[in-house]
Amino acid sequence: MPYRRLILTTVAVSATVAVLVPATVWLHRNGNPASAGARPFKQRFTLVSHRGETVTDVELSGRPLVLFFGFTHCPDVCPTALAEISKLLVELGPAADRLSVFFVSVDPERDSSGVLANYLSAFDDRITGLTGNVGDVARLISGLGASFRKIENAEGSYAMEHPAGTYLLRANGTLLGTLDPHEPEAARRAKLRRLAASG
Amino acid sequence: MKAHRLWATLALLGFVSSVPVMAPAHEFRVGDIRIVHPWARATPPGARVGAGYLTVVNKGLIDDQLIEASSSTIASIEIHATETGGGISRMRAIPGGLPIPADGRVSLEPGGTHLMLVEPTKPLVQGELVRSTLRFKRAGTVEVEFEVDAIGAPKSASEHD
Repeated sequence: MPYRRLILTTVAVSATVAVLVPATVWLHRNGNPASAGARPFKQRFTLVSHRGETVTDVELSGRPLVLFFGFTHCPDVCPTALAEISKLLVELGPAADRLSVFFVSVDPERDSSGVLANYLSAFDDRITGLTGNVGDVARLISGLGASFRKIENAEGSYAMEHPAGTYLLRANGTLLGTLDPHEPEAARRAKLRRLAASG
Repeated sequence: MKAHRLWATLALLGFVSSVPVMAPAHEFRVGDIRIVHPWARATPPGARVGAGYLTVVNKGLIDDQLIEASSSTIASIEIHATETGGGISRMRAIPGGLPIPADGRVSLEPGGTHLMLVEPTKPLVQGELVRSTLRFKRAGTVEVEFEVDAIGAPKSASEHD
């Protein structure tokens, strides 16, 4: 009799594991089932790359994304971030090729496709610059729950407020996290590895 | 004889290469103010702005202020702070100059306070020097040279203090 109970318990446990483990794995891979396969951006946009190609929200869906928002009139934070991303891509090795990495200009008035092409020649060539009209950039950024704005100064020039972190979006459109300029480099590298594995 | 000269040359090289360790750091002085290792980052092609960094040490007993920086090869130099908060990065000019407290030091570093070098007449190239004049409220003016480091160079790569 105890022997029979043991067998029953074993069968019950095995059955539970057989159902739960794949379900958990599936959920882990796909996030919330309701948003599985969802696009990361809630609004449509059409931008142009520094190579002159048209890039829309559709092209940015279904692949692991690294998005940094900045502008070329930004002497401190933006070159720091682009140099760091360039370094991380090299350190990541072949895994980096699974990532789609973008420098999205929050100052499209001054950052034309040509300006971005020139500027980005100083960084890893896997970083693609994106610009366009302000409305399209705004739709991309607000769709991620972030924002940017122009700050005019007394001398008639202006600077841009922009999201500080670099956004990491999994291939399934969910946010893995951001690269924080203040976290250790090893943490940033680990995040990029996980992101590459998501694609 | 030849071997002899070779050894002499090697010995001399060894001596020369050890000199920078003993030589004073790249720094400039005016009154009680020391400006330690002014450096700038090389600019990416087409960039209209660059950034300069330095450490100011005030050995005096009276507060001072960095009120102006200028250069014949840069249209204007603005003292800026980078602020990050609530996931947003912003730059703002520091009005009225940068306070340098008595018996204190202020470091301008990547990601914080910096000199924004607006419209250099030519790109800033790694290894070159940019001559500039700094004006302090009490100590007066001093000529300095910013050493140009790599694009995006972190502070650790250039700290010689």
